[in-house]
Amino acid sequence: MIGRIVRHELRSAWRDGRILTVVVLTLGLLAVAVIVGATNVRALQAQREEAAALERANWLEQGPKNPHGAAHFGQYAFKPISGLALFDRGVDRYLGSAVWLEAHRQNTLVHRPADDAPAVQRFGDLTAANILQVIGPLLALLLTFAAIAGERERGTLRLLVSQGVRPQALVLGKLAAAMLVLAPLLLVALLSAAALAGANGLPYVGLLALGYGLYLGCFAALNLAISARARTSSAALVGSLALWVAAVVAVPRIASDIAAWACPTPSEHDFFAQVARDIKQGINGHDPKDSRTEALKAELLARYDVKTVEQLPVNFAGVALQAGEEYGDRVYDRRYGELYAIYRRQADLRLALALLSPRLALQPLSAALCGTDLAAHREFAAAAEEHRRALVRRLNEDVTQHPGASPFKYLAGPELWRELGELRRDDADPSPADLRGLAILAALFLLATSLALASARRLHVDP
Amino acid sequence: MLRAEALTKRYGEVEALAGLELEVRPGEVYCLLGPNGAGKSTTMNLFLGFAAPTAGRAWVCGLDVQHHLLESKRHLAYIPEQVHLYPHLSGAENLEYFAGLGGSAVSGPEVTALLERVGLPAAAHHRRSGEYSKGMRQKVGLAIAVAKRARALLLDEPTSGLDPRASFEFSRLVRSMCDEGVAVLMATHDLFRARDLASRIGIMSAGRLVWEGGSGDLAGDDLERVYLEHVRRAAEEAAA
Repeated sequence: MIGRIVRHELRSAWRDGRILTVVVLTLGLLAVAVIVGATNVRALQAQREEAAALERANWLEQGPKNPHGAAHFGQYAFKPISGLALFDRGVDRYLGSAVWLEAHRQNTLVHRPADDAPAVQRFGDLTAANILQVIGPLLALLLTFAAIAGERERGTLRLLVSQGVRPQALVLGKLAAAMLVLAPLLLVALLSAAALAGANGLPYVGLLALGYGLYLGCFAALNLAISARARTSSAALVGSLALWVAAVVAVPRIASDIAAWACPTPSEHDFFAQVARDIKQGINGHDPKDSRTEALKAELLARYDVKTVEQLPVNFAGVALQAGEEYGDRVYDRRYGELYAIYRRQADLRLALALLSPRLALQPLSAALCGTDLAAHREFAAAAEEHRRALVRRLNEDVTQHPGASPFKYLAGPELWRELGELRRDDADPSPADLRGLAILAALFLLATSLALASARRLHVDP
Repeated sequence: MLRAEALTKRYGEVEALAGLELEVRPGEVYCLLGPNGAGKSTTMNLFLGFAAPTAGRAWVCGLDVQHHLLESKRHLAYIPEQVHLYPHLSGAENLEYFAGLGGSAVSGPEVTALLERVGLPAAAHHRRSGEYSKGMRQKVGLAIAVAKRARALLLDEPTSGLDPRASFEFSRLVRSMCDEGVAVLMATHDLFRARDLASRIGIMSAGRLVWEGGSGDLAGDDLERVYLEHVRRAAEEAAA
């Protein structure tokens, strides 16, 4: 019986020119979004590769220099772009694309594309993900708002139920049909994105399809629940539109505000001021910088059994620099750890509010599967920081290994610069660890379907 | 086949049906007459399970409707006053769909044969039903009922608004189903059609069955006299 209902619904949708037109228009919009996304991602990839090559040349051609001077000369590391970023830019645009690697300081990423975007782009990018997240539920609404209320209004519901059609079967048939009409949108968007993103994106396309399918299924099922309860299709339309505004637009915005209010993040100025204080006065305020240096000097003189730093077999400046660096690293690890913990709590809070909006579960999932979420950003930041520390450590070691001379008069040359490799992270493909969004979407879909079935159980055949 | 047992339905303070006792046997056409609000459509809705009785029971082929909502519908066919079809589908497609849902899948030649049997012009079989007249839609409704091979047929004002010829054809088809042993319960305002078609007639007023008799018990225009008399008397009692 359900199969018969599905076939009937598909035939009706096919013959209803309005639905066909909207589906074709959305497909066109998705195609444009995927092509524009692919063009942008390729352009950005090329730009970053070019900038990285230029940066490398600058590093190699810096001439003879004291290694610590070279550490301050610094270099940029550029965040690679995941191929599937063309589908969903996630938080990429807001978290920066390059990080300045230098001595003493773990910088945040800079050059955020969002900074250069015109104000109207605040309303959302033209990405396939945004289209599916915002317009997809509207399409689901179009397909389902009158599914039951319209039958009731038209008078066909009486005949259907008198034929012995189980109302739950009617709802499930209409839900399945709506999903089948929406399926080509998902397939076109995801397969074209995967094809343009390269083979590495393929493993995630299945999970993306599942996530987006469950997301659109939630809306279709909720609209069916409304349609089964509403007396008229115009009342069902108002109810479904209210649901769309709340779940797609309002709740995600409010959830972000609630998360920011409940778990506030420090300003950039306050954050780095705190780091500077920690480094100068000690993490706990008990071991200021001067006393740490004096203790290190005493420990080193004792270890080598000499009276002055000039008698040391190593360059004390290099040792002190590295010790200061390592102390700074501990401070940064702690403060960045706190900062990322706040981000994580914010993300968890948003996810907890996903009961009110499936979009809150889909957004982080989609970004994670496309390698454009906070975790991917953090992974790059961690790799960049590891690279910075190794670079500075090697430069400080070089200073340490050249005792005797005035600490900063020693000059290193191109051999050392060449020895210090650049940060190469060609592999920017996603490796999502957090798939909680998928589980939440599955639970929400089951809940929405149960709601639709419960509404069908108390079905009135007359308006 | 169809039996109402002290069937009662109240909507708040309003008693739409009060202890209806009624039985329709196989091969019998039982016509329910009565003014608007007499309880005819409520009776239909209770047999169809569209509403739950406040008291009493409705039986279809020995099944209590309330306890066998789906099973009882397998034995029932229903034609409302206005048969509503999917306007973007043809009569043949509507018939295929509804018959399939009713558990009697039909296709191709069977569809044509059914539509021919109910008298839908061949040229209209594959036209969008949105272009059909009411009579044509009623015929498709009847074809759906025939296809279902139901043992009981519920007709709720089925000839209302039909021209005399269409009404006559409709009656002829109902009679042919009756001859095949189908029990027919028909609610109608059409006294002429009731006298022409019914084996038995019941007159309802204010939710009560106020008169019942065989169509052979009445001659000439007696039905109209009996109907008006009982309806007037029931109205007076209600006013008192």
